[in-house]
Amino acid sequence: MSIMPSNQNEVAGPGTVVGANVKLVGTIQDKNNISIHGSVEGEVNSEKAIDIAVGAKIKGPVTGQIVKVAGNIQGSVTAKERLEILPTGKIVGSVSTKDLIINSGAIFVGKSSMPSSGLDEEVKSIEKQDKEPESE
Amino acid sequence: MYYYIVELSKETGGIKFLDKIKNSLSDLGISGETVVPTAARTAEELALMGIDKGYSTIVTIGSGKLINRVASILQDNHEITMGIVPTDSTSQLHQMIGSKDIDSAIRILKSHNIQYINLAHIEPSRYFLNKAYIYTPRPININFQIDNDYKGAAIITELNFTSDLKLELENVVEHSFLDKIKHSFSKSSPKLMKSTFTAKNRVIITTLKPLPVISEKEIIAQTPITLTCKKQVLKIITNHDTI
Repeated sequence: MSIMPSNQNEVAGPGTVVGANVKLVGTIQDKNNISIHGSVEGEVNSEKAIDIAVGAKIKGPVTGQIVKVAGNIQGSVTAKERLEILPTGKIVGSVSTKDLIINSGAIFVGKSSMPSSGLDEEVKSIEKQDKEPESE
Repeated sequence: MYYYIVELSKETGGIKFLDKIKNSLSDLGISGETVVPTAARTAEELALMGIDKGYSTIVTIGSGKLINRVASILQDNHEITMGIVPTDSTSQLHQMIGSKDIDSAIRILKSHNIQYINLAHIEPSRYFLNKAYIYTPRPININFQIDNDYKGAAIITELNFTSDLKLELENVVEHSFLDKIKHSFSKSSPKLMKSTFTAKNRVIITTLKPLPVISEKEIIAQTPITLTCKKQVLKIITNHDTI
């Protein structure tokens, strides 16, 4: 006789998928990929990739490793590895990522920062210099 | 020692079926006490009697409906192993234990590989082992809540859920032939009408009108429902390669 651990609880497949026929309110959190085709009001967090499809609408912060945006986001986006805004994509809010790709036709209104590059401090010091009146 | 609860029905046949089962069990060297549920003595009562008699393995041979009912009695009792022999070849329980038909399910009893599995609970007192679903021919609005994390509204025709609280919502009407033609002319890709969610503890589903929730061809509840997962509460005999 052997007793096997059940893998019934293992999360397989693509993780969370929000279809075009779905509206959600609240925080979506998944260790696996998240794919959104419908509408979400709230936070979207994944330890892997997040795909915001054409026609999808998100009001709230989005955090993932790789974030691909073909839909509409009103809120901040943090992509630890890469953020790509596709030609149909629109982000109104600040973005933070190591690798930012904005395709022709995409809309991005907000501030962008690259956290690990050390450039943030450089930008801040330049902004500070710009604000300070020139002393003779 | 084995204790067998055998359901006799129009589909399986009467005494001849029982004799065939007894012969198969005897051939495999796993024969034991065999009981048949009746109106006077339900499968649940027979399962309790099996526990009282001290049997360590209680096997249910019958419909998925009967198996779900016996499972609800044997849950949380880790001294007892449950054997499953679905008599309906289309039962999804075959997939769960790794059998194709009655004969292969009986052979699995002999192999005696054991796994702890989840049991889904629909409040107040209904249980199912594997999968359940809601179906409507026309799209309807449903509301759902996944744990305390998020609430959702959707238009669906099908809602499938598993005992480990994985939900699949689909609006199959949107995949109709006319829609496909419409999308091919407009050169737009059809919208994805399928959603997948996984809850950790609890799922609540509500609808405007009550809708039946079906598992193994039996209506086990009506919406609104609160679904929870009782984790690893059943010790079942299975073909260990499959789950």
